[in-house]
Amino acid sequence: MFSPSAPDLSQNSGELNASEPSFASDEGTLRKNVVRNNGQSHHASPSKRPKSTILRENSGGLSFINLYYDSADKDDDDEAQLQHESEMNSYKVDQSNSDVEQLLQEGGPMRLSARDGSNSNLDDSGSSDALNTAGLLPTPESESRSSQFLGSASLIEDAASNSVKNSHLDRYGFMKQNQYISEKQFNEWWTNYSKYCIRRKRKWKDLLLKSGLPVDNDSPTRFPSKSEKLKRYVRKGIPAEWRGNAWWYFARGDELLSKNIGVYDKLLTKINNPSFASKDTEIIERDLHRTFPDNVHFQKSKDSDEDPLTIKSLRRILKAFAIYNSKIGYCQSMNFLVGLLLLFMDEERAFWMLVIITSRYLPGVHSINLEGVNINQGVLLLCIKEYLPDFWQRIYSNKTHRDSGKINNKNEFLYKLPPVTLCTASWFMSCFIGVVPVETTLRIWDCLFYEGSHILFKMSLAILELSGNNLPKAHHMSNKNADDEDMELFQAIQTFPKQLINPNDIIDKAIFKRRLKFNALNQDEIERCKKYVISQRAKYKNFQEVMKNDTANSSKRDSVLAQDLINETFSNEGYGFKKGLNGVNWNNNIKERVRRLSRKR
Amino acid sequence: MSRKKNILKVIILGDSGVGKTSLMHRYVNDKYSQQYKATIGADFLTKEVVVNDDKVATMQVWDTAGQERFQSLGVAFYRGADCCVLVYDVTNAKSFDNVKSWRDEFLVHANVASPETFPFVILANKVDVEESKKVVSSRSAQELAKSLGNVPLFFTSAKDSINVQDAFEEIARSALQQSQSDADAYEDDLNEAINIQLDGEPSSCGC
Repeated sequence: MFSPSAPDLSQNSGELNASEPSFASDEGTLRKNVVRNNGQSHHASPSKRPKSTILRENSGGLSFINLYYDSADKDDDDEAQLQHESEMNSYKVDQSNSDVEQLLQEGGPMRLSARDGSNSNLDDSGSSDALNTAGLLPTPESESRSSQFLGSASLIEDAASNSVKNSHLDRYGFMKQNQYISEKQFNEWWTNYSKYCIRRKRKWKDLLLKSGLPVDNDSPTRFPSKSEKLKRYVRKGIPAEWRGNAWWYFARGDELLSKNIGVYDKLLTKINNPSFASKDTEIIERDLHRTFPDNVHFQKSKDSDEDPLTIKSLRRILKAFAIYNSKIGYCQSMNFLVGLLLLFMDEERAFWMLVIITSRYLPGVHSINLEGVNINQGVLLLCIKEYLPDFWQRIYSNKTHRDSGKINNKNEFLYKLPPVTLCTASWFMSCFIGVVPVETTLRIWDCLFYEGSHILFKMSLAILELSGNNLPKAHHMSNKNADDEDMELFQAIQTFPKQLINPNDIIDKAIFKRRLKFNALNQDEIERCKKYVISQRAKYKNFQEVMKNDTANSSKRDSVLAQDLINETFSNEGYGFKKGLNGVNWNNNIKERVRRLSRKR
Repeated sequence: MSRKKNILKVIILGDSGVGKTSLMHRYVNDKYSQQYKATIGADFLTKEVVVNDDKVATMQVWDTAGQERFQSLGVAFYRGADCCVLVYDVTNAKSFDNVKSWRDEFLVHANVASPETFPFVILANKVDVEESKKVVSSRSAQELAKSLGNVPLFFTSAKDSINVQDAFEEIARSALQQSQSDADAYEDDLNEAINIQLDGEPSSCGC
């Protein structure tokens, strides 16, 4: 027998806290570094030709087309350079990797990298045979869990004959083109970004080797212990082929799995029982094919009506989770979380990662009343108010005047969430899947699993700020209709992030710049803020209930008084953000008093 | 001090998978795709409309998540709606049964001035499917529409573009009408609000 209740992971969140770094690089060193990189034959020599390779992760997961240097390719970076790396910027200006570029443009010879690192040539014909002998094709696993591997033979053939450059698909199987990004834009970006990925991966390899960790089969399972340096590496992106393992490692998946050996199989036995019925089944079924319809792994093959393996895994995980954690059951958006996980890890791990995400990273966010979402939105609003005052003006202040004609208490927005939170709610529920392009989502996930959920808030703030910059200035006093402003705002928030094709643009904006204003926002601050929002919402709810009972047999005047009482109570309890520099903990109350005093004078 | 409102806010509600997103895209972009993802939270598109051949307005169509629990998010944005579109899937009896509760839910949270006259439109979607798959009869649909106060009812297909334009023309018409009567009520409200401020203690707002 296993315990159906989810293990309590919320206690562990403290461990994820990382004090904010002051990122050790400034404009000066960056520029120097670019010169140095160019001068030191950083680019590949003919003997170090990068190879486009296909590989598959040890743990299962997806077959990638990947571009990286041969294992014989020694990184010529010295330690000092590693310390002062400037990839974030230099990749944009460094045009000297002509070999790489040429290769990317020509499509290049395709090679297959087997797990042991030996490369076997693959021509377009007979590739599946070659794959079989290399032990790369999926072998049927247990009946109940057939989808250990996502790559099908045909996919690998496709991948082998078309580099990402020449395909309509990206390296994860998503359509490059969508409503917001053209294939041309994608290709232009990818030309640069793939080079960046190659460089980053080399750095990662070096780091692992120096830490004495094996990079066996291009699928390391252990990573260095947490450090500022590792955090920087994670923020610059985990190599795509290592992501599954790295996420699992940083989220301490093994810890959870080792306590729950066999649990997932038992859940599968349950859901496979013909008499099994769950209220969530119908809606899960409905969502399976609406998860990533634009990804090849989620599409039925032309000549078969059978669901692809990924869809089958997705179905099993969601159904199993619904009975594993009945407080959550199934919540739309979990299909996206699991869908993305399945591109990087096997089914059982994806299941446990879902458990970890919903309990540790996003507690309550998917529960039946979505209270976790509302709390997170309250926290986000407080952050917006603190860090993006201009944006705050747009979404809130002028609206209170407009809608109610009078100012209610200061914290009303915590329980009467403004409409903008309808957009931002999905950012949290799906951890930015579908909100930003997939490569950007993955970079956010890298940081999320390493650093904790405060990353989602930082990202949201950065995206909102950038979206706001694209808007015409707010017209509080102009006769422009407030509804028009609302609409512009929504439009911007909805469409702007979808065009953020280059992850570095937003990562840089959100977390990397030194002296960035969001830097003070760490996991501790978010947790503290969350507690505050929770208590405010609870208080309001209690007051509401008291009021309801009261108004039933009292006059209108009494209810006005009660409302005043609420306003009075809440307006005296502002939330004070910690101010980074000198550690003074400013309280909004004090600020308010100072302001009042100076006005009197 | 009249508030010239030229934006019509329309909200589409209905069970998950009945075709809300498809209908919205069919109407706004005249496109259909098998590849819509499940909607999380809410999404909106806008379209310029001409009502009664002379009035121009911008229709803001809000597409919502269908799963019941998402209603805990929607509360704030129902307010200010000018028309509510209730969608069900003719192949899904449960989605039809839920039409009334979607309407009630909307009325509870939208805080509309007069619930009896607030415009709803019902769309019976997916009529393109073969007859054998249809489980909701037209007659029961008409009965429901009647019982909810003679709500206009359209049998639509976002896929084959059946009746979608007609339905949204009706939606635009009733939304505009609602918005105008709302604007009148708003002015009353505003006057009242000013009075309250004058009567009460000085505003605590320092800005």
